[in-house]
Amino acid sequence: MDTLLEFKGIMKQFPGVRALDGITFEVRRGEVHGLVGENGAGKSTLMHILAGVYPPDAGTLVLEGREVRFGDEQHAQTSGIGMVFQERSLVGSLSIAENIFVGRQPVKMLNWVDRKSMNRQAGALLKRVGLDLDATAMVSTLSSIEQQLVEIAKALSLDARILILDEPTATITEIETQILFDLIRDLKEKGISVIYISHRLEELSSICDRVSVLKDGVYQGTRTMAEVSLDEIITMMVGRKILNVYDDRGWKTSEPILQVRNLSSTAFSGVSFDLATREIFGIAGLAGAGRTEIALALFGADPYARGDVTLRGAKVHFRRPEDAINAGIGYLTEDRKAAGLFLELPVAQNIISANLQAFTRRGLVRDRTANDECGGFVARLRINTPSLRQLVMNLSGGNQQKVLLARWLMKNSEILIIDEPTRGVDVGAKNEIYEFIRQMAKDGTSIIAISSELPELLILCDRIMVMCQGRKTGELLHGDATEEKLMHLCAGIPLEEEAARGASDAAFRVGGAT
Amino acid sequence: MHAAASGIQASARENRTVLRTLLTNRALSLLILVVLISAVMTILFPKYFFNYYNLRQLLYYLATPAILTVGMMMLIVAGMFDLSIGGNLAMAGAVTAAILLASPAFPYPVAIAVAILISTCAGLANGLLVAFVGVNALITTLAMMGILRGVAIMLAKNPIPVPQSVSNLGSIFVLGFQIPTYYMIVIVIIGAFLLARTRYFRQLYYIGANRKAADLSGINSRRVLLVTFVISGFLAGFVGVVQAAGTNAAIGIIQDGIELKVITAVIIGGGSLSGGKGTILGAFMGALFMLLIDTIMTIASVNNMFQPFIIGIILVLAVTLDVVIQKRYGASR
Amino acid sequence: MNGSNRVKDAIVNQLINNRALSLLLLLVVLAAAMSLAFGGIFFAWSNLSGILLNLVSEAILAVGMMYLIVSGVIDLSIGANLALGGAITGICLKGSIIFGLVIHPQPVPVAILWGLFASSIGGLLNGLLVSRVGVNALIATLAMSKIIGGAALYIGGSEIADLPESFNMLSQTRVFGFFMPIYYMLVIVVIAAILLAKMRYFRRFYFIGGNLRSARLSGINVNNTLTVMFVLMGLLAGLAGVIFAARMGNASGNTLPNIELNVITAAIIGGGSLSGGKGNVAGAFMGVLFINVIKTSMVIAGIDIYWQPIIVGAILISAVVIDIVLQERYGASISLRKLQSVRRRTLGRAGSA
Repeated sequence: MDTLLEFKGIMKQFPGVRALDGITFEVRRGEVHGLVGENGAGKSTLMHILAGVYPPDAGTLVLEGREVRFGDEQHAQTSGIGMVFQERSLVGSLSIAENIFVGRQPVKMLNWVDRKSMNRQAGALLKRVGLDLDATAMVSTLSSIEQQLVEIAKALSLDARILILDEPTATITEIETQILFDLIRDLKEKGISVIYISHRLEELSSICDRVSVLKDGVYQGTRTMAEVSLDEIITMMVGRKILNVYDDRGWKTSEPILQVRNLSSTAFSGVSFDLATREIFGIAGLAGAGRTEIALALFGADPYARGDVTLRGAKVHFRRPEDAINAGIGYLTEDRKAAGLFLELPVAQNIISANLQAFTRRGLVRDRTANDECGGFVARLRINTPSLRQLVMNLSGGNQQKVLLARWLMKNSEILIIDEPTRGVDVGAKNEIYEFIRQMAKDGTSIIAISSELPELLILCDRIMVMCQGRKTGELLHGDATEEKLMHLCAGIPLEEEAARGASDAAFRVGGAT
Repeated sequence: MHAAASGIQASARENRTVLRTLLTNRALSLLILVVLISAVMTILFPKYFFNYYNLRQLLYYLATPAILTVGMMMLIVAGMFDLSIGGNLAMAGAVTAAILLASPAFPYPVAIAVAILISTCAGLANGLLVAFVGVNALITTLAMMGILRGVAIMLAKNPIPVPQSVSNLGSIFVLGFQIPTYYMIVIVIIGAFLLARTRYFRQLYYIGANRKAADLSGINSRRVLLVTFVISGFLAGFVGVVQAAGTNAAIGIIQDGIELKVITAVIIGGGSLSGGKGTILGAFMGALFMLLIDTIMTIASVNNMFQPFIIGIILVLAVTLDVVIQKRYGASR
Repeated sequence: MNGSNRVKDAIVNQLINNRALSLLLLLVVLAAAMSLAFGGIFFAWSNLSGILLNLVSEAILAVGMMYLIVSGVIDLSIGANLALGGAITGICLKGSIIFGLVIHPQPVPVAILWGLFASSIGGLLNGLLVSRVGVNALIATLAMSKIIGGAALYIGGSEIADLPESFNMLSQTRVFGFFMPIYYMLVIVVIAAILLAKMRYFRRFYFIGGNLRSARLSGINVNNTLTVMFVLMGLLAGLAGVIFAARMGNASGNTLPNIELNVITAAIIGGGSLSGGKGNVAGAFMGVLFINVIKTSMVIAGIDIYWQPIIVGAILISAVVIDIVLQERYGASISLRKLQSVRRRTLGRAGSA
């Protein structure tokens, strides 16, 4: 295999921070090359340079033996670099074909768009990525994985020789990830190289040939996947061994604090489960399984929910988040930037947002007291911020997540639903957050943890319930649960033998199966 | 990556330059600007400027925009705005005058109450449409503006005189200043206090910064927004009656274009259309600044029809300046 | 798939998405009602051509406004630009002294060009403010409307009377019974519709309005495009102003009252969405037609003209509310159904792999 692309001494400086410091490594033809590193390690910056978004301050890119300097994204595209960003680039109200050919629609004379040709070409591309869809379909009707594949089709339509995938599996789930991997292997065979960026280290061994590690903008090394262990990779990323061990906590009780029976809404139906006091209860499932929707229903944010919910022995039905919060339930949202944080407000204001009443006396907010308490939480959670007045948008992903955690810690809810506790958070902060969650359970909070990362659930949870397309397909105690079993249930494939029977028995009763 | 607790104490030792403070505390920088401009004007035109009579007139003319900026600033902090205030205030004045013209024996407090009530209901309608139905604020208040102004013009194509009993409420003197001055002071102080110190109106900042996150923090955004629109409507109605009282007549096209002035004042005063920023005090200083420019134009004998022209230029300058400042200094507040 | 569901979905889909069609249906209903109530007077030729003539300015403006709304921005200075175009053309035709500059009477084509040039500059300023400086379009164009309006007022005075016949005949000539402005308008509307639907350059407006970031990354120069868009809007406004001045035989610096409300209402009713990425020219034209037919109906019915802005405002609100309600009721279920069927197909293949 020969070298397709070389990074030589790439440097990039932003005001106040050196994002890349002499990055040098190479990507071979037809290989899947993983790129990993904590948040802020420089992966995104390096890829933006490769995609032509901005030039490096120093160093060169060598593409097929020739030095290149990209003036803009167009130049990079025509040179064969295709990038699929984390954020969607599609316009919902337009067709798939129009989206793929944005700005370069095939034209007849006088720049009149040739619809027939465009749809035909788009159809061929869709086949290439394995999508059985009509090219004239409106993008807003597509599911997440379908949109992802359309994005790849778009990149391929530009004759990409190198495809950069930035967190491609962040919003799709295990089964759909397999679809993606199949496509990547296909492309590999055709000689296209893929640079694969992901926080999900377990995926790397399934799909990557080699992996390069960045830490604080510095290149740490490249390893062949077959010859390296995940622990080694993690060590390269953070410089210390991470002990991810499930902690058999003795403080979980068998008292159910929350009992859910036959909860139904537009996205799920007939869901029943118990939450024990001080338990960490996980909910696993593919995207669209209805997990977040269950959380919203419990939190009073879903007007269509029906069913019986019993909290501490009393029947409840929350119609507004306000009511749920007052009753002792908290919800840490899945998408912290869109629905969780107040990016333009200071850290202190973000932390007290759910707890204003506590700092109100005679209708007035007591800011000084609030700031004191916030300071305490910032220290306790080790949130890295120059001051309480710092606007939250200036914090890193991990610290932003901690701010959200602080909000609900301060509220001291008895039940906390955490949706994707470590999405977009680097390894170091991930472990800290796991620690904090465990500590919360120890201190008396009962936790429902929703996550797309099965290993995460296996680390944290005492019991894991699995959802598939709106229905509960099973529930496993920590002792019985493995990634394979969970994945089966996520896909709706029933487990055989006693494992399944044991699971369904345990489904309602808290406190052990057989 | 791990900040010690002392990192927080370090905030006390922040090296904030004086310039940064000035740029971030809008009310303060405006006050300084106003004082400077006044000083220069006093030196250049000594007999035009600083005397009791002028001050009294200034405060009188300041009342209408200042009161309106209170409502507008609250809305802008929440990420909203209200283009219907001009039509609303015209309608209130017209309704009051029309009622009393039609039946002179009608008790005037009731007539006033009816007018202000209708204005408040217009605010309620705005709030329901925007906060509960989900119609875009621009469309709602633009349409409402057309409707209310239309009603006002229909009622009062030509000026309708206002009876003495009512015009007293807008022009009598108390302790040497006309009464609208006092209305203004009371409303501004109450408004500033409510927005800065009370929990209820603090929520406006959250709603403006991130509506979804506010909802999920347990804030009843829809209700708070509704109340804020109602306040805007109420204040518009109040001002409309005071205006009609002060000018002794109500006319449909009164204060045409006031929306622009008020929005300009609010933006100068620190408000941002993206929400989550601004203070009432800043808005007040913005209104004062606008009036100052007005006065200078009068002294410079600039024709009345160019007022909107100048205001337009000021608005452009203000937002441009804002964008530039944001880019250079917008880190903490 | 359930067959009758399919048909129902298709119908509701058309009603929601093909705004021009729904408006046309509404118009037919309205016209029928009017002729029932007031007799054949409604369908009289003079009435129809009168309606068309009166909506020429708004139609031209609405077309440009639709482009802007699709791009996700808005322009409140169209009325001022219209006035400026007319005013500049007027003084160029008659000659004047502005700022000490002596302007000699110009030939008609030159005067028109100056007028269009001026309004395009107005549009350019809008574009620069919004795209280069980054000011919110609402605020920027609101401010500019006062600035341009002030300029138009100063230049035009309150009236520039008695424009030369050679100029007036551009709008006052009749062909096949219709005045020229109607033809100008139709040509502009048709060209604009074709451009937006078929020309590659103009398709980018949907991207800018639909997903700004991705439009940028696709190599679309958003700043330049927006600037061009605003200049075009200014040009169209000026054009409307020139046509209007020729029709009136005089030019004034006065802005037509409520024109922004009417044009925005027309565009929104016509399918534009303030969030961007949606709308088309046919819809905008139908929107203008609809509003003007309503206005004319009011006049025929003897309703005071002061009711017009009130009715237009009410229509605007109603249209948007109905849209929201329809979306909520039917939009979600339609797309959910599509989603299920499509997903089954994709996952079905994966399951067999």
